[in-house]
Amino acid sequence: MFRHAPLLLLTWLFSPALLAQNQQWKEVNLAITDGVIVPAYERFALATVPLTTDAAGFCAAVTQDNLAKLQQDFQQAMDGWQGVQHIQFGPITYFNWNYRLQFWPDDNNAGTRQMDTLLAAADPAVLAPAAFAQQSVGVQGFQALERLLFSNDSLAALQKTPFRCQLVQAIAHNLGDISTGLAKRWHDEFRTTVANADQRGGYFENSRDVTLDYLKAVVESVRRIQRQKLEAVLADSQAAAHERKAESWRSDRSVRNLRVNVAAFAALFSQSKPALSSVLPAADIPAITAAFDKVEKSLAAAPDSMTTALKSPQGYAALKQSRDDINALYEALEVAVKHTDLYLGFNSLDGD
Amino acid sequence: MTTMPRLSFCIAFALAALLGGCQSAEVAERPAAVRSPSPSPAVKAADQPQKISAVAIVANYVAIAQATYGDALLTGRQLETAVNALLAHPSVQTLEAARSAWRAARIPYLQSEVFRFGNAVVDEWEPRVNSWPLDEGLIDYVAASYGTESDNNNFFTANVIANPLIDIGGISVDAGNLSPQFLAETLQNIDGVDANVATGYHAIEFLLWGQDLHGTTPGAGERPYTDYDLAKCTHKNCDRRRTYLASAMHLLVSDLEEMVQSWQNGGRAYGALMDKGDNGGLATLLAGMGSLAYGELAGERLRLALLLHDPEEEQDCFSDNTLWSHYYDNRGIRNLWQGRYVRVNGDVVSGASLEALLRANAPEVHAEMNAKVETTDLAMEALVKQGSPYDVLIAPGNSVGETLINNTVQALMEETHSIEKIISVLGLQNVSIKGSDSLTTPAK
Repeated sequence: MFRHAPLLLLTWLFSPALLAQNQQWKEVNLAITDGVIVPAYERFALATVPLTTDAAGFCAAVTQDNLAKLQQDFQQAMDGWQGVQHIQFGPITYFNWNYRLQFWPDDNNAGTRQMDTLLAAADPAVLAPAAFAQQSVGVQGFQALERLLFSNDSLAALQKTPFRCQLVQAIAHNLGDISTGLAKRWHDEFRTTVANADQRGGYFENSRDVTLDYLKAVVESVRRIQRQKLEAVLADSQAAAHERKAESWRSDRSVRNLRVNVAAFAALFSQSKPALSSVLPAADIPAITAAFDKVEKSLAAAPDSMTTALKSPQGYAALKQSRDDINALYEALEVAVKHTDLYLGFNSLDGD
Repeated sequence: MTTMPRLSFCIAFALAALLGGCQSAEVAERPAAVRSPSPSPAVKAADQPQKISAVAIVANYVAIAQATYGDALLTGRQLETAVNALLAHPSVQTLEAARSAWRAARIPYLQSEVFRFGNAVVDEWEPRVNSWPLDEGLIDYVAASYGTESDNNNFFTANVIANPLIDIGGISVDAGNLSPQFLAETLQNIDGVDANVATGYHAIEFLLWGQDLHGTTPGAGERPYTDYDLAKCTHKNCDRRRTYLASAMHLLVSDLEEMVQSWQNGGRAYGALMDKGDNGGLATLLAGMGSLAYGELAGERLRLALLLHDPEEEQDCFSDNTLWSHYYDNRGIRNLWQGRYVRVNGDVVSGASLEALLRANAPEVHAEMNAKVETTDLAMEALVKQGSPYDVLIAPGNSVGETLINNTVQALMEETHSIEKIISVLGLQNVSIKGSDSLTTPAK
C-alpha cells in the first residue's frame, strides 16, 4: 500500500483546493512582510544610527553630557529592537545576529563573566569588527552596552579606562552593522523568499509554513514575555521579587520594552490587509482583540519604572495584573489555534 | 547559509521516492529485528506492523522507563559505594574510582532524560538530581576568576562549606549542619534562584572534580583527594566538605529510588501517564523526544555554549564529560523511536515501537525520520570521537569545533521537524498533556 503513498500525496498537493489555499497563505504573508515586518526592521536600522554616530566620537570627549546623549541613543535603538525581537526566523538567524544583538536572559551570569575577561585582557585587536563578531555573544550586544553605559560608576569607569570606551564604540558599531544588515536582507532578499515560499528547495517548504512562523512569532512571544519578562521578576511575592531578572533593569526600561513588544505583536496580528488574524476562525477573533486591548491598557496603567513598581504593593499588583492579562491573551490565542489544524511545533522555550 | 534549506521537504521527498527508485521503500521495509540482536516476542509483533497499537507502544515506553531509571539507581548506588570508599580512605585511587563511578552513573541517567519532558511528575523532580548550570560558589571555594557578583544570585559566593552562618540580602541561614535535609530543603534554589544548585549529579561532580580552571584549553577540574583528608586537609573545612558530599550522595540515591517507584504500577509517573489515555501517552512520548532534541539539546546544551564561548555553559563543566552527556541524551531519543533500550548489564528491553507504527502507516515520514536519526547519530559520533573535550571545541576561533557542533545542532533541528511531522500525521497536535502545557508549549 505504501508504495502508492507518494503518488497519492502528489495528487493531493496539486489539487485545486490546496492551490487556492496556498494563494491565501501567500497573500497574508506578503501583506504582513511588506506592511509590517520590513518597515519594522527599517525603523530599527534608523533608530540605531544616532547610537553608532555618537559613539564614534565619544572617546574623544567622555563627559557627563556625552554619556547622557549615548544613553538616550541607547533607548532609541532599544525601542527599535524591541519592535522586532519577536521575529525569530529569516535573516535574524544568519550569522548568529539574534544572540549577537541581545543575549538575555542570562541565568548563568555568562555575560558578566565574559565581559570581565574581555576587560581584564584589554586587547584592542579583538575590537576590530571582524574579530569582534567572533567574540562571545555575551559582550557584543545591548546587554553588554547597557552595563557599560548605565552602571552607577559608568562615567568614572569610562573616563579611567580607554579600553572600556573603545568597547562601547565596538558594540555600537556592531549593533549598527547588524540592524542595517537585517533591514537590507529583508528588503532585498527575504521578501522574495517569502513570495517564493512554494518553490522547491528554498528556505520554506511552502507558504503555509511562512504563515505558521508569523503566527508562532505572536503566540510564542506572548508566552515568552509573560514568563521571562514578568513571571521571573515577580516570583511568588513582592518580598521575593527579583528586580535584576528584569530585562533592561539598568536602563530602567523594562515596562517600556513590554509596551513596545505588545504593540508589535498586535500590529503583526491585525495590521495588514489581509491580516494574520484571518487564518484563525472569525468567531475567535473578538476574544483575542479584547485580550490585546486589555493587555495594552494594563501596561499603559502600570508604572513606567519596574524597579520602582516592585517596591510598592500597588506597583507589584499592577505588574501582576499585566502578567495575568498577558496570560489571558495567550490562552485566547491558544484556543483559536486549537480550533484549526495548524500546529506550531516545538519551540525554544522547551527545555530549561 | 541563506540558501540552505531550513527544513526537510515533504514534496521533495515524495518526488524522490516516486522517481528515484524508491530507496525510501527499502529503508521503510527494513525489519526492526535487523537492529535488535535478541528480538523479544514484542519485536516479532513489529514484523506485523498493522497490529502495532498506541497502547502497546505506551506499554513499551513504560518498560523502557522502568529499566532506564532502574539502571540509574543501580549505578547511583555504585557511585555511593565509591564515594564512601573515598571518604573512608582518601587517596588518588579512591578519588579516581569515584570519578569513574560518576561517569558510569551518567550513562543510564542521561538516557532517562527523554522521559522528563511531557511527564510533569518527572519534570518537577528533575531539578533535584540534574540542575545545571550551577553557581558553584554557593557550595565551596572558587578561584578569583569566577567573579564576585551576579545580577541573578546574591548567594553567588556564599560558600556554605566554609561558612556555617550566612547572612545575605536579608536572608539568614544556619548552615551548621550540612544534612541531607538542609541541602534539599534550605540550600537548594535558595532565594528562588535556579543556579543555587545544592544537590544532584552536578553538585557531586563539583565535589569530585572542583572547578575546571583550564578555560577553553584541555584539562578538567583538579580537586585534590586531600580536600577530603582530615589528616592532610587542603583548602580547609575538610570535615564539612566530607559531610556535604555524603549528604548529597545520600539524596541522589533516595531521589532515584523515588523515581524508580514512580514508574511502577501504582506510582505517580505511571498513574499520570495512564490517565492521559493511549493517544495522550503517545503524545507524551513525542513531546519528550522533540523537547529534548530541540530546545534542550540543540539549544541550551549545544548552541548556547558555542555562542558564548563560555566553558561554564557546558553541562558537565567540572569533569569534561559533556560530550558523552550529549551522546547519551541523543541515545535516549533514539531508544524511544526504536522502542529499544540496552541495559547496563547488556540485556535488551524492546517492544512495540513508534518506528514500526510509522513504517506501517506513514512510510515516507518513517523513512525521513529514520534518516534523520541516523544523521544525528553520525554527528554525535563525530563529536565524541574527535578527541577534544567540549570546552575546547567551543573556544573562539576553533572552526573545527564550531563545524562539528553546528552539524549536530542542524541534525537535531531537522530531526525535530520530522518529529513534528509524526505528530501531525498521527493527529496528535491537539492532544493535551495532563499536568503540563500542551505540546505546543511544553513546560518552562
